[in-house]
This record gives sequence, C-alpha cells and structure tokens, in this order.
Amino acid sequence: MKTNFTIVLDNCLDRVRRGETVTAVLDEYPAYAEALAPLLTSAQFLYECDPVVMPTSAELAADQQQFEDQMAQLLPLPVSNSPLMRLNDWMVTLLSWLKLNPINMKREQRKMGTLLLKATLILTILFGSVGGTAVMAAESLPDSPLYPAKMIMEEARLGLASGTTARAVLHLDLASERLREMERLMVNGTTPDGALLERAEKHIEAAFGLAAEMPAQQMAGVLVQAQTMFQTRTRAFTEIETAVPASSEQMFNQAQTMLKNAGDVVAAGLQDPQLLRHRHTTNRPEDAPEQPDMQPPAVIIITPTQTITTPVRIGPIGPCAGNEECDLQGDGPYGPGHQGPQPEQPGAGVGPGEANEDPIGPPDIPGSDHEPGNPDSGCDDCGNDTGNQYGPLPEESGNGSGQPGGSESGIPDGSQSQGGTQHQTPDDKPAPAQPPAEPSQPDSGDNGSSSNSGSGKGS
Amino acid sequence: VNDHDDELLVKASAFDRTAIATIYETYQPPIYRYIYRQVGSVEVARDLASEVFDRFLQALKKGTGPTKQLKAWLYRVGHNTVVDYYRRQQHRNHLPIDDMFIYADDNPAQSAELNIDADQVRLALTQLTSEQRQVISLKFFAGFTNQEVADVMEKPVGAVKALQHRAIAALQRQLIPTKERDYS
Repeated sequence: MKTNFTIVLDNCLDRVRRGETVTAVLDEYPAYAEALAPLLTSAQFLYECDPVVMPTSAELAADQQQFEDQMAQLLPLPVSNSPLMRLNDWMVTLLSWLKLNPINMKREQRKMGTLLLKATLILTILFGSVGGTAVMAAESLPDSPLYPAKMIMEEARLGLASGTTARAVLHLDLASERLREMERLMVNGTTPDGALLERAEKHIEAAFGLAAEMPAQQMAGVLVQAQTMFQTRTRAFTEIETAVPASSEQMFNQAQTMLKNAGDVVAAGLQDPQLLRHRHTTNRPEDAPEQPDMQPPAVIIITPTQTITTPVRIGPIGPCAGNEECDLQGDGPYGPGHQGPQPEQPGAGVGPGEANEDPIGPPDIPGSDHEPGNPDSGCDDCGNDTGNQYGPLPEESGNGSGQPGGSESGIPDGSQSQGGTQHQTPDDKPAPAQPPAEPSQPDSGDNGSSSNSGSGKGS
Repeated sequence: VNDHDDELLVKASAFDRTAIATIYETYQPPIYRYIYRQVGSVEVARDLASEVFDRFLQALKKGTGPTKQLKAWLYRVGHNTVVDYYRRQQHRNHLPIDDMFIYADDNPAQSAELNIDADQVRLALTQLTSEQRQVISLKFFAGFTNQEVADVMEKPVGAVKALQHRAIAALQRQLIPTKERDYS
C-alpha cells in the first residue's frame, strides 16, 4: 500500500511539475486525495516560490575568467592528439632521457606502450628489413608512420658521433633537417607542430654549446658552417613564402625569426669568440684558475681643486690596480685578456640584459659572473692573478650576468639584446662616453596569473 | 547528452582545455541555479559554484575525476558544497538555524511576501536530512528525473521515490503550519 502511494505521489508530482493544478491531479486519485493534498501543495510551492536571481554578465565573465586562470594554473598542457606526433615525442624522450616522464604518461588518453609495439611490428612487416625502412624513413615527414624510425636513426647518429666538431656539425645538420621538414609540410598545406621548431632550436643550441668549448679555429669552422646553413634555410623559407597557407604563417614567422637570431649569434661569435663562449659555455674549464676573492673597489674622490695629469684607471680589483707597467693583453688558452675598463665605458660588459633568464650568476650582482683572468694571460710582473679575461671588472655598472637579454629559447632576441652590442673586444678602442647601463632586474617570473581558490568573492 | 558528456570527459581527462571550458559553459549555469535555490544569495551561490568547478579541476589534476556520468558527479559535488557551507555557517556564527538567512535580501525587486516564502522554504529544507534535502533539490530545483537523481545519489530509483516521499512529507510538516491560511 505504501509502495503504491509512493508511486502515485511520484506520478502526481510529475504532473504538477508539468503545470497541472493540484486540484486536477487530486481528482484523478480520489482514494489518496486526502493524503496527497498537503504533499502536492508543498511541492507546488517548491516549484513556484523561488525565482533564481542570476549574476550579472560581468560577474559571469569574471567567474569564467577565474575558472580559466585556475585551469591554466593547475593543469599542464595537453599532449598532441595525433598518435604519430605522440610517438615521435616518446622516441625523443626515450632516447634522450632513457626514462619516461610520469606526468607525460598521465596526460595521455591512450598509453603509448601498445602503440609503440604496434608501430614496430607494422614497420617490420611492411618493409621487411631495417635497411629498407631506414632509406624510406630518411625522407619521411612528421606526419608519416616512418618518422619515428627517422628519429631513432638520428639519435643513434648523435650517439655514435665522436668528437666535439663532428657532433656540432651533426647537430647543425639535424637542425637543418627539421627546418627542411617544416618547409615541406608548409608547402604541402600542413601546419607544422611547434615541437618541430623547438627541436631545431635545441639542435642549434647544442651546436653552439659545443662550438663554445672548441679552440678558436675549430669554433670558427663550425660557425661558418652554421652561417651557411642558416643562410640556405633563410633563402629556402623566402622562396616558399607565397606558398605558405595562412594557418602556417605564425609558425613560418617564428622559424624565420629563429633563423635570424641564430644568424646574429653566429655573426657575433665570428667577430668575438669570447662572446660565444660567454653565452654558451655552461661548464667552467677544468684548468681555469681559482675564482679570486672579490674586494670592494677603492673609492677615488676627486676634489674640484685636483688636477688629473695621468689617466685614471678605474678598476682596482683588476690584476694591475695601480700598476702602470702591467700588460693586461694576455693571450692564454681562454683567449686574450681583457684590458681594464675605461671610466667612460660604463656597462662595457656584454651589456645589460632585459628579462634575462640566463642562470649564469645572479643578474643583480654587477660583474659577479665574470670568470677570473687566467694567469697566463699576462700580469706576471705584478704578481696579481686576478686578471679578468672575460669581461669588465666587477665594479662596472654593466650587467653582471654578462648576457644579453634573451628569449626563453636561449636564442638571443634581437629586440632585447641591445646591450650586447656594447661588448668591447680586446682590440677595441675606448668608446665614447655612454650613459650608465641599468643593471638588469631578475626576472620575476610569470606568476601574475595566480588566482584564489574560488571562494571569497565578497561572501 | 551522456555520450557527449563521456566524450568531453575523455578529453578533459587528457587536459584538453577546450573540452574543460565546454563543460564549464554547459554546467555552470544549472549548477549555479541549483545552489542558489538552496542558499538564496547570488554571492554565495557564485562562490559555491566556483568551488564545484575548482574541485573538478583538482580531481582532473589528481586523476580522480569522473570517468562517466559527469552531470551526476557535478551535482553531487554541488550538494556537498552546500552541505559544507551550512556546516561552516553554523559553526562560525553559533547561531540557531533561523538566523542564518540574513542575506536573503539580495532580490529586492521581488515582493516581500515572495522573499519571505523563499526564505521559509530554505529554512524548512535545512530541517531535512541531507539526503532528503538532496532529493528535493535535485527533483524540484534542478528538474532531474528519478533516474538522474538516482545516478547522483547512487541509489536505486525505487529508493529515490521512497526518499522523495519522506522528504515531501517532512517538508510539508515544516511548511504547512505557516501556510495553512493560504491553502486551507
């Protein structure tokens, strides 16, 4: 009986919800009318009593923005939907780290292990031999099933390459290949994946890093090859410009900018090898001398009544402070020594960097990053081994990090590296007076998008 | 709808931002309405609705998010946030339940009588058990079918109907004495 009443009540509630009056519904169930009446009345009241007040459109937009901020803050970027692109990423990841990143695995809708196995089996069955696969894979594009095999072969070549020069040249070849793939994809009407350009950048960075560790002559050889490659690819990009679909224009422009910036780095490196070493050497040479203890600079107070008859050399921390006979133009294994900076050359280091994210040294300590001078570079007479071969002395107002403002990719951004042009080579003549460069501020990071956890909007 | 939701969930689990944004745009308004009718305040309802979707993002990040029945999952979380809210209010203010509705004046355009009635309904709802309040809210405020309510509450449809019966009866005991003059 109670079960029947429950079902009847449910039917009646549905009818009231559809707009029928309580009286009309009760007429259908005279046997239950007395019990149903107060319940349906209460239910009807529930339907009618409380119109919802919606937030304003501005409040709704604010809520949505807050949600999107939280999403950006909490969730990592998704992986590519294309299994082939994901397979490529896996190949690179596997061969680069020899371990899997659990975050990447978590982000995948379908696990790649099975796909990897399937791809291997299919390739083996289809092409029968490793040689045949290799030949066909060499010309494959990222949207081809053979592309993962190409990645494997390239990684193997890198692993087998012996010698710094050979590896640097190979990195340049691979960067060129990535750019060539981008060109072919764009001509075919396909928008290249951003990872392709990223890989090209990484190869170029690796080549620069290797070149920075070479002796000057070998470095120049590699840089010339790099310059030739960049020019070739720039020409190729220019030739296909009209054939690039609108969807690929952004990627096209990014690639051209990357080529231009890399070309600038090469040109600067050819002109001043020390600059390239500064920018791209991450490891301190094993035979480099000890870092000298930094002493606060002596303060020179010149009163208006004093007459200066000899040039005043600012930079008492340098190897020959107060020693006029000292020759700072050394030529040790790390390049020629740097003459002490002149008073009219504030910021004469590599220059101030804006938004400098280079981890080499804290950017707010002027000159703190410069390597100590090599004892072989000169100053034997004065017995002071604190000679500075790599840049201005610490008390200079130039950016201590010694790095030009750069993009996150590590390729210097021309728009941010104006300070880099102030670098003075050892052969430079004293430059005309320039305004003191502002020390660069440490990048505060992109943390401005943080949002609260969802509550507290005035409740 | 379920197939579409399942498809969105698969993408959302892979952190597809477009899919997550679509879920928000689809379900934020009804979740807000569902909560508003229980709390009667625009600001509180906005906060609690935001909390629902914040929990959704956190669950996605931890890999503990829903794998099916997205709608049921969101309303379940919505109910829990309302329960938590009332619990916090009671604890914070040390006030009897009747004094909790001081914020119900954010709809001045409505007639005074209507506002009072809405407050009385909400007050009556707070006297119900959590499950009774949930079934009433889902059925009458969110317009769910019995099957949908069953999905949210993870109970059989028969149990939902029985719970609905007890909930309406309890609500009637709370409301009718004050409304007798209107309906007698």
